[in-house]
Amino acid sequence: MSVIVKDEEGRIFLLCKGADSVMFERLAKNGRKFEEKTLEHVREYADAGLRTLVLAFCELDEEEYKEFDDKFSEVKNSVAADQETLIEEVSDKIERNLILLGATAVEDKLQNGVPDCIDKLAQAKIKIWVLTGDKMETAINIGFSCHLLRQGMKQIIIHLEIPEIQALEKAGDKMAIAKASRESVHHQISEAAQLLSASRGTCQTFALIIDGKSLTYALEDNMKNMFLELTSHCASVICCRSSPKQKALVTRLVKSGTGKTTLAIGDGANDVGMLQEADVGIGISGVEGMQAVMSSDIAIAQFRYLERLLLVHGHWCYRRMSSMICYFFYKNITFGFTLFLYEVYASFSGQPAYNDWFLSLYSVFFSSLPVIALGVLDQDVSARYCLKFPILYQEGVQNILFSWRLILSWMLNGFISATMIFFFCTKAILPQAFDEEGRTAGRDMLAVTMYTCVVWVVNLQMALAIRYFTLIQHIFIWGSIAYWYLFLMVYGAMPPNISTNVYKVFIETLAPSPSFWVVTFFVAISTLIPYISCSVIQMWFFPMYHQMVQWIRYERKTNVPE
Amino acid sequence: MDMPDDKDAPPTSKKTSTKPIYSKFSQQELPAWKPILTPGWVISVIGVIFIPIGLASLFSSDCLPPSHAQNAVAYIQSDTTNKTCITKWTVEHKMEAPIYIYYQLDNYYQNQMLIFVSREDRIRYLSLLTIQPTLYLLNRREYSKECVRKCIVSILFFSIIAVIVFKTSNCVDMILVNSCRYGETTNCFPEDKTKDNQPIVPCGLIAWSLFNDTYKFSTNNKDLTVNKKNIAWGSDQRSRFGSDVYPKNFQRGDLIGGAKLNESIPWSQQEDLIVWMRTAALPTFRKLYGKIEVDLEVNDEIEIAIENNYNTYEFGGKKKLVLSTTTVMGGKNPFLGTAYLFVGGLSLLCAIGFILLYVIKPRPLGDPSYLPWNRNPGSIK
Repeated sequence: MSVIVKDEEGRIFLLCKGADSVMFERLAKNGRKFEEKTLEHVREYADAGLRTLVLAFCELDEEEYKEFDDKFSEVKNSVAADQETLIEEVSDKIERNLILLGATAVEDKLQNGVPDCIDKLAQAKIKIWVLTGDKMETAINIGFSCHLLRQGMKQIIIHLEIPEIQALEKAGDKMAIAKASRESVHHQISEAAQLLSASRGTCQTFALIIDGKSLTYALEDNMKNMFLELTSHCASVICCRSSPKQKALVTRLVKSGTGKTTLAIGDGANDVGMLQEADVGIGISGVEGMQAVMSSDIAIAQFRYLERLLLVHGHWCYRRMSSMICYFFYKNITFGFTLFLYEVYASFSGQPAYNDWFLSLYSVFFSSLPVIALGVLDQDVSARYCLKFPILYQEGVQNILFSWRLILSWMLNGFISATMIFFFCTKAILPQAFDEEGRTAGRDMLAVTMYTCVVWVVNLQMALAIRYFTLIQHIFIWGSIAYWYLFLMVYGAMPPNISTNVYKVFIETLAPSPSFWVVTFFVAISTLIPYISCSVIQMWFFPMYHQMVQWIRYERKTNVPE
Repeated sequence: MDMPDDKDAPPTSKKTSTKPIYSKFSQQELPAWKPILTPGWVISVIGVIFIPIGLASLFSSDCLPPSHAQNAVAYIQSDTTNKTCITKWTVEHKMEAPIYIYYQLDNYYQNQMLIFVSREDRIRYLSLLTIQPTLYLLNRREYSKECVRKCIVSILFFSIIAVIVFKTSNCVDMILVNSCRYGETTNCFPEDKTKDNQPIVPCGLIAWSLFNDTYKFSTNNKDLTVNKKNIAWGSDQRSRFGSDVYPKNFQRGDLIGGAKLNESIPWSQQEDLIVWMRTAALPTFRKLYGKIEVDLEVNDEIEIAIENNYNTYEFGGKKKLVLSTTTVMGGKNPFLGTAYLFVGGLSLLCAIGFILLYVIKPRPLGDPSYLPWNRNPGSIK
């Protein structure tokens, strides 16, 4: 960009500024005295993440300016198809023989904490893409500012600013331009893929930078798979000069091409398409308005809050959901399989082992609250350690806690528990005398004893599975067990035509009998021993990452290298 | 030059914050105990051992005369043959009073569903009855006088229905309270009415199949008194079997299933029936027959006269007679003690194994060098 001014003494000056690669070409021979030093400074500034400009000037004489003015006016007033090109030609002629003045460096201010946040997310092995409408130089500078691009990273740049395509653009043939552009993008992607293949095995990391015009062709049907394959081996990807539609298309490509979960975060109206296309859309509320926030799933005030949102609450939420669902499988199998085993001994006639209200209220009162407390409050690792070890987030990405092996293990645990409860109860209570008075237990007493053991085992299993006991957890676990006894007393005290076969079963027959309590204690402890053993062996020999971090916290080692 | 006066600036509006109130609950910072399975804690899990004490003598003998071995069903169903058999048994261990007498039946499915009639349906039916007036009340937007009158009439109507259902539903097996009406035995099909359409009390297949073998015990030519009082649960006698209800038309059909009842004794005193009506949980069960309230010394010889009346031959069942003493833990049960010993031993083995591992192969589980990203930088698995 140039400006031509005349000072009060009548002298005419041309003032020019631009990128260093362009400006140094236009310097006069006697204007290059400080070129090397300035270039050195410009590179230092760029490495520091600043946006740089080079300034130069020259003095024009009267005839030179008049000639330029006549030509410029003539071209401006013409209606030729190549007017832009002609204007550039005339301007280019005047911007010659400049004298170097110096360079400027401007910091593009980011929000607080953004570089640290992106550092943490990168440590958590989250692939990060930047989709921006800025120019390539600005995008690269921003990449360095927020630590998305780092020293030592090799940059792969895909762009269409090459002489052949520029020549074709002057010719004005759209078909030829599209064809040449497509071939160029294809060639650049192939070249980059070869470069990545050659560098495999080394510690070299790559960053891909692609501009919007190239992105148009890279997203076409016959090329997007190549493009996606290329990006999957890059640590960072920057798409500059991309339109809002291209942002959404890139998000869709990544989402459907990799099958992974995608998260989009933006703060402006041009990000709405991207936010809605991603699996999770996060809007940043701020000076750019509320469009992004209103179209997103989660709204945050600053970008740095993304760190805690993903690494702490994302990790916790994954653990809570997976543990809760596995436990639901466990407790319902434990309850239902005892019913099935009793059916075997009732000749499959449909006789239920338990009273109807026992069946109805099992999941409502006696085993639901502890699992709700797990789903809402459980923390396997505290927030501080989640942030200290971002790699814990990979447990969710790799689905370690909700794999089929773990789900089937919990189901097997349910079957084992049910089998042990049923056979231990029946063998311990029947057919000999039940109490000191010599009376024997009937169907109702066996049912209540078995149900009591199920309630104890299921709630104690919850106590063994969690590692975060607040007062709420204690109230819910022991309260569920106490509530069962309370229900048994109240329901059994109702008239016989209401309580039917539970009439005074607990108060009169079970509670005064020591064998009931001994059997309950024995069955509860015995049924939990397989889980304890497997849990100890697994933690001792094959610990998961969160268990390693738990041990670190337990041993109070603070000087942990990261 | 005269400067124009500035207008007063509008008063500064107080900035209202939308920041939510801080609380430890909403920020998930509740104080918590975070246990971890340390070796010391795991090793201390050892089972507790209990061994119930009691002696039981299981007596089983074929009480079928050899002349009828090929036709047991005809023998048991005949009214003319002599079904009494005498057997003798020597006491091997001293048995202190009271000694409980049980009959044990094998392969007898008293828990078969078809024997029962679902009594819980009445509760659901009553729940449905109460739902409609409640919804009717809740759906109203205004409570005019006419509406209130309609609601009251509706509630009264459904209450009357509920009372009628309760009354007429009481006359089923196992729930026989004082207000039982003899005419309502339809729930007990096929043992609900006689051929001339008279109600059977008690009705139902369970009562109909009441066990009817009898036992007499004597030692040294002296009869042992069998006490058959207090063998049923008190709640059954007080609440579930009416004290003013008497058997009627029982075992008068073509098929005789079991014992006949003395029609001059009220139901709450028919303890044999009450014990039998507490249905067993599994196909093999014992039920209390009575008590012998004198001690039996070692080497005493007991002579038992068994009246073999109950037909178990037709379905391949078995009958046994059990004499047992009890402790606070009930009768003798080798399973519970054996299981406690087994689980305790297993826990002890686990504990010893973990101790050996802890000593021989100590592993600093909190060592950060074991973290995979410290071992292999850049890789996760």
